[in-house]
Amino acid sequence: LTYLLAQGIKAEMKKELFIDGVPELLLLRLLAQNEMYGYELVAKIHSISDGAFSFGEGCIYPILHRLVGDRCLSIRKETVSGRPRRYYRLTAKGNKRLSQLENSWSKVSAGISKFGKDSIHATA
Amino acid sequence: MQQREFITRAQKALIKHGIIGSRAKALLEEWNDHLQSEVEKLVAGGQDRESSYQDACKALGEPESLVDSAAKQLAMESWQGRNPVLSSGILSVVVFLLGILVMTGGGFLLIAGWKNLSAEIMQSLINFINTLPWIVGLCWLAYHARKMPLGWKGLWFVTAFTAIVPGFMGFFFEPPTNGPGTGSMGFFLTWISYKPFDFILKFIITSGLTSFFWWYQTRGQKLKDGNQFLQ
Repeated sequence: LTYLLAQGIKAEMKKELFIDGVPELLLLRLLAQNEMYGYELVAKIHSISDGAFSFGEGCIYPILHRLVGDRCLSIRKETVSGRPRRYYRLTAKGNKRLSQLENSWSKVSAGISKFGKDSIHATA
Repeated sequence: MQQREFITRAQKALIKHGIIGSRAKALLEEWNDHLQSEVEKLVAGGQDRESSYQDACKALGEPESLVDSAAKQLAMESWQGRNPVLSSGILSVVVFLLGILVMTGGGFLLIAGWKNLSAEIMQSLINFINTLPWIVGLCWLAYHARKMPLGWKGLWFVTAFTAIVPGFMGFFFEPPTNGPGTGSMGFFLTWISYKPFDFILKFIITSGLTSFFWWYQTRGQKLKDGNQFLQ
């Protein structure tokens, strides 16, 4: 934690990165490739991560709606088989947000990798 | 469990959590699309429609727990939701202080212009200034009704605050008619309301507005007939 703080990771970023930031980062990464709808995103996260990330549908949709509210995503509604479907697309602001999250995540990841078995033994 | 039961239970749970309006509609649309897409996938894989619905509902989880996690996630999205006690308590006090500030501002405007005002108009303005903290409270209440950051509990807390606290505040103004330094102006707080009729009226209007809003959002008829998501 001291190392992470020394890397300039602020208090709010810690919470964001370790808990809330992960689904947001994954959603933004997926939407950076293509326009997608909710079910498609949930299924993609599940399949790409081989089931490692299985965020509940109760959690993903409020995050998507918040990102729309923050103008990180734009929305397009379409009627499919008689029901409304929302397609999400990354905006310029969302792209910026994705870069920020990726940058912060790579710092965390680099910090965690310093705690590998070998480095801990070497320090000891 | 079938689609109708799933959506209706989810809708009821959303209302219970105070997730209403466009937020509830957006979530229901997403869950409905999720459910249907899952069913289509299972049917395409050779499963019959009846059991596909049951499996899809099972995979999505109990509607109540789905709504629980959505409510938690939505609460995490706002500062108020993350700090419910601090935001409902402290911010209400801030609103109360803002009410006093607005009242004082009104008082100063009265000092500046009292010479041009008749006694009747001045009395009306004093009454209006007396009402300003309550109006500020109503704005705070309207914000809560619009955003519902703390659900129904938060809304009823703010209602009680707006209905009671501003009623205990009073504003007085005596113009300096006998020369400089003879008038007085200020506000006071009393444990026993200084104008019982005013207090009761504000209380009835405030609780009436919230009660109507609550009834409108939770009325049973809407749950029976208003399900536009079912096919």
